[in-house]
Amino acid sequence: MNYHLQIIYLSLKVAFLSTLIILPIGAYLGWLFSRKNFWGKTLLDGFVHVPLVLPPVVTGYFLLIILGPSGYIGKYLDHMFGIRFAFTWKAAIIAAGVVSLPLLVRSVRVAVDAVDPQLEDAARMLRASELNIFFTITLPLAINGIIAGAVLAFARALGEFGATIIFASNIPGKTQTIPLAIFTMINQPNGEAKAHVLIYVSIGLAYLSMLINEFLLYRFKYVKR
Amino acid sequence: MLSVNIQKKFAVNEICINCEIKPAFTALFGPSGAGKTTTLNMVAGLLNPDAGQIELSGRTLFCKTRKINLPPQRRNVGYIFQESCLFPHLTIRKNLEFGWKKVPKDAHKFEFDDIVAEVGIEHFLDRKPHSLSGGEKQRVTLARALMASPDYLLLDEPLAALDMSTKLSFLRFIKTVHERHQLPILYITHDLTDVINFADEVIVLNQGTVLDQGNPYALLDKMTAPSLLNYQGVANIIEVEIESHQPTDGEVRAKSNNLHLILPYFKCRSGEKLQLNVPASEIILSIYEPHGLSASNIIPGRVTTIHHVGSRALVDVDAGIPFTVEATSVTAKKFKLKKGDAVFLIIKACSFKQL
Repeated sequence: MNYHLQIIYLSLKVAFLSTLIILPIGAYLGWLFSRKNFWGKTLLDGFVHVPLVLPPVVTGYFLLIILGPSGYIGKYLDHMFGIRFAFTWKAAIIAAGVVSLPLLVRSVRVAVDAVDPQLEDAARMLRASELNIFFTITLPLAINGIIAGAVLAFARALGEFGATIIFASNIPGKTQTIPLAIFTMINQPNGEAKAHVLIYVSIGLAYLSMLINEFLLYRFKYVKR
Repeated sequence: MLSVNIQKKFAVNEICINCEIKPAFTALFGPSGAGKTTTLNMVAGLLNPDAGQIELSGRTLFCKTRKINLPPQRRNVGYIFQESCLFPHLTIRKNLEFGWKKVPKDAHKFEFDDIVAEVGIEHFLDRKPHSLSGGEKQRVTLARALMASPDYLLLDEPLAALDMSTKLSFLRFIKTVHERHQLPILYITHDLTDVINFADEVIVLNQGTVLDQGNPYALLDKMTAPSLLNYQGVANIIEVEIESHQPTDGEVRAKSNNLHLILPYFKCRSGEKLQLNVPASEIILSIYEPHGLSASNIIPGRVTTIHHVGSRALVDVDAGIPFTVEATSVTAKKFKLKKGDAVFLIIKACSFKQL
């Protein structure tokens, strides 16, 4: 049981931290895609969204060749700062974050689209700075959509498998999250029974996340005025 | 003085505005698509012209050649949009404080509580915008704009969605604010009634250019039939205080300054203050004191000005409070009306409409 708890704890930690890290990035990108027009917008949009449609294993492979020990950026991080991501729980966070970011960005974008830009103009005419407008007008009015997006991203991070197994590997006690553990257990002879607990936990967490997501979107649609 | 000299190209049309606007209550008049809102947005800084310059009392807000483009936040211009645009997640008080807190303490032009009292919104400061009526929302919007201490106030037809009486009452209120605080106003409308009743000056826009600029009365003459279609005539808006109200008499007595008026009976309280409108075309002018008429109000006064507008004459009469009477030019000439003439105004009780 202790073994299971340790896996669940690691999974929740990875999903929670990855969501926390991508939250400001996703909020900014969603706002940027909703409100601004700039050169290369479509390109950046595609870049952020491609992990949504790419096989996660491929995303993991790209993470490895960029941030891995001999990767384009990874080798400098290692040489200059002694930072190594690959095959650690931090890699699991990065993998989960990259894969779930597009879901968050899409939710934020839809939520910001729903905020009347004329309210922001009204705030401009009342001498509010752009940063002030974002934090006092746009963000509070889009907050339900943003939180709903974060919950969705959290659920996606919990279920992340492909990119994680490539970039963080499947090391018990270090990088073995719930999906990886289930995969390992089912592959062992007579391991299926051991996997059941984790399967039930997965179903419970996923269902709970979707309920919260639906509830927030419902409020966003019908209660907010 | 607001000097606007701008060009902007769009996919299907072009806007080219050149005008000097006196610091008064100026109406920007024209049909839909004439470029009224676009012009206002460029003055506000929400839209950039392709070329030209905008100056407000000596300050350059925009100049293409000198590469000056002040952001909206630094133009000191208030803007009231067509929709009320109150922040839905903030209470009325927080909405008002939004602009108030962004002005340095020593730069406030008005007192917070004064504006709240002036606009008459004390009793719903702690409510959220969605619980207010259209007219109340616009009053809050006006108060909120004043809280940011603007040098100039732009109004984009803020009353389009309101009914006629709410609109007249609100415009009259804006006019009072304009006069009391010497706050210049540029006001968009496509309703000739507003222009005639409230504007000191009018700028007529059509297809992106200034067609005409000047005295609002002069406009009546030049208007073609379509623009006159929803023209409701000149209004006389007066504030009265109820003196007595007897259902048995079937009438209400009210006074405005020292002028006593008789109105048809309606439920009200003594001392209650009301705004009434009596259209200029419903008042009869007599040069002798009439007797034996069914009309309840026969008010002596003196002619102050006469405007001849085509076949019409608009006669301003001082009867303790100012009235405007609409008559035909022929009548005005037959009576040989001139400034200072003693006249009597004949107004039926039921010609007064409550705003």
